[in-house]
Amino acid sequence: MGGHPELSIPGDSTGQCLEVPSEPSESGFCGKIKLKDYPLVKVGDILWTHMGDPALRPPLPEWEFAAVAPAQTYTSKRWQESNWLQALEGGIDSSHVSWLHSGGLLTDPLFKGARGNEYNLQDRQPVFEVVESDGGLLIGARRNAEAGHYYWRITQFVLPSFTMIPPRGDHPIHGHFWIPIDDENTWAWSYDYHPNRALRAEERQAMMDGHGIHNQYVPGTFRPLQNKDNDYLMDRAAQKRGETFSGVWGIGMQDASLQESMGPIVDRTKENLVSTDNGIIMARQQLRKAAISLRDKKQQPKGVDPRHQRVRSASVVLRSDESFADRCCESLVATPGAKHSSV
Amino acid sequence: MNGTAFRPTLLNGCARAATAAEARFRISDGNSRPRRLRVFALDPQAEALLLSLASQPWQGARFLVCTTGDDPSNVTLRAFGGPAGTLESELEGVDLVVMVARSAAGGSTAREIARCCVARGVRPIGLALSNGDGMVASALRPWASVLVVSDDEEYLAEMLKALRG
Repeated sequence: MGGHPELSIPGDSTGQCLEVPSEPSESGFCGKIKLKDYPLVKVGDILWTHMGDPALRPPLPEWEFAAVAPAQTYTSKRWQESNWLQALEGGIDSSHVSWLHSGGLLTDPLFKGARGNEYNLQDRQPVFEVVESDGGLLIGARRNAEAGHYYWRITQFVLPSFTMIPPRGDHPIHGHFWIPIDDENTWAWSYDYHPNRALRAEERQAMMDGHGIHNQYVPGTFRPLQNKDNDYLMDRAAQKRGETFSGVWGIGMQDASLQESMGPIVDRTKENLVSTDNGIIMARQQLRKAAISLRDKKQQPKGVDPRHQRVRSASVVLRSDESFADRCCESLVATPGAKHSSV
Repeated sequence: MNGTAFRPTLLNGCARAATAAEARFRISDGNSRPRRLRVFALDPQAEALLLSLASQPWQGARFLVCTTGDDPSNVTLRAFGGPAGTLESELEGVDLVVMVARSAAGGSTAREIARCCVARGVRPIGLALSNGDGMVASALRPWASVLVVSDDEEYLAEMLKALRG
C-alpha cells in the first residue's frame, strides 16, 4: 500500500492495510484501515480503470486502436485546460476542418496527399447528416465530388467521450478520448492506428514529433509546448502568408487553442448554435439522457458494450443518390485486419 | 522593424485571459437577436408531434402544417392557433427552417420548402423521425442541408431550444 514515500505501510492489492508497525498486532488496528481501490488493466498501451459500482463492472475495452498489434498503433496524452465537454464537442464538429485545418491538409505529413483533401478544400459548406447509432452518433459531412457523386466524411461519436475522425488516404485513422480531470481540465488521449499494417517509421516519428493530432510538450510534463501562456506560439506572419488559418501550428493545437481560449467553461446560454451543430445538440441530449438513466435506473450507458466500441470512421465517395448509412454499414464496423474505407 | 513588433500584449488581450477567474471579466450580455424559426409538419403523423409543442412557450418558433392537393408544388399551410400565410410569406425574414417528417409522403412538399429557402439563403433542416424506416430519410435527403435521422420524438424540442427557437 503506497503511503507517504518516506513511511510506506504494507498492504495488499485491495488496499487493505496489513500492518501498522507502531500498533500492537493483536489490536487489530490495521484491519480498520483500507484505501479505496480500483481495478487497473492494460489493454494496448493504455492502463484502464473502472471507478463505478463493481457490480456493474464492464467487459474489457475492445476499441480497435487498443486491440491491434503494438506496431500498428500510437497513443499520446496531453493536458487540455478546458472542460471535457467543450473539447469533446470540437471532436464531433466536422465543419471547421475546411477552415481551421486548411493549411495542415496540404502540409501535415499525417494528412497531406489524400484525394479527399481536395474535396475538403473545394467545398467549405458541407451538408450534414446526423444518424443515431447503437453506441452514439454517426455524423456524416457531405461535400461535392465528381459529377453525380459526393464525398462523405463520417465521424464516430461513442458515449461518453470517444470520437474518431474520418481517415485520409492510406494515412492511419485517428481520434480522441476526452477524459475529465475536473470541471476545468481534461486529458486528451490521442490515438493513431492503421488497421491492417504496421505504422511506418516516418509516421511514428511524425506522431512523436507532434504532427497530426499530436503535439510537442513542455519537457517533463504533459502540457503542450504551445499553450495559453505563450498564445500557442501564434505565428501571425505564417497566418498572413496563408500557411495557417489561425496562426497556430499543428492540427491538434489548432483545435485546443480554440477550445481553451473561449474560457474553461463557456456560458452555453449565450452561444449561437447553427443548423450544422445538430450533431452537437444530439450528443448533448444523449449524454444527459444516459446520465439520468444511469442515476435513476442503473441503466448502463451506451459505449460500455464492446459491440459499441468495435467501430471505425470512414471517408468515401458515393453516388449522389446513395445514403452513407445504407452503403457504409461494413465500413463503419471494425473488422480485424480489414482495410479501412478512406479516400 | 515596424512598430507592431513592440506593441505590448495585454493580459486580457490574449489567450491567457482564459482562466475561470479572468473569464469573469468577459462581457456577459447576450450577443444575438431572437431567431425566427418555422417548423413544418410534412405529414399527419408529424402534425401530431407539432401539436404538442406548439402550445409551449417559444421565443420565435412558429409551427405549421403542410398540405398539398393534386399539384404537389401548391403547398397550403395551416398554423396552430391562428391563420397562416403562403409559403413565401411565412418564410420571409426567417433565420431557420425545420421540416419534420414521420413518413416518406412529404418529399415533394420538402422540395417546395427547400426551393423557397434557397431563394432566401436559408439552409433547411430535415428531421426524419424514421422509426427504422429508411424511406423517410430518403424522402428528405435531397432537400435538407442538414438531415437528422432519429427515433426520438423528444429531439425536436431539444433542437429548437438549442437553436433559440
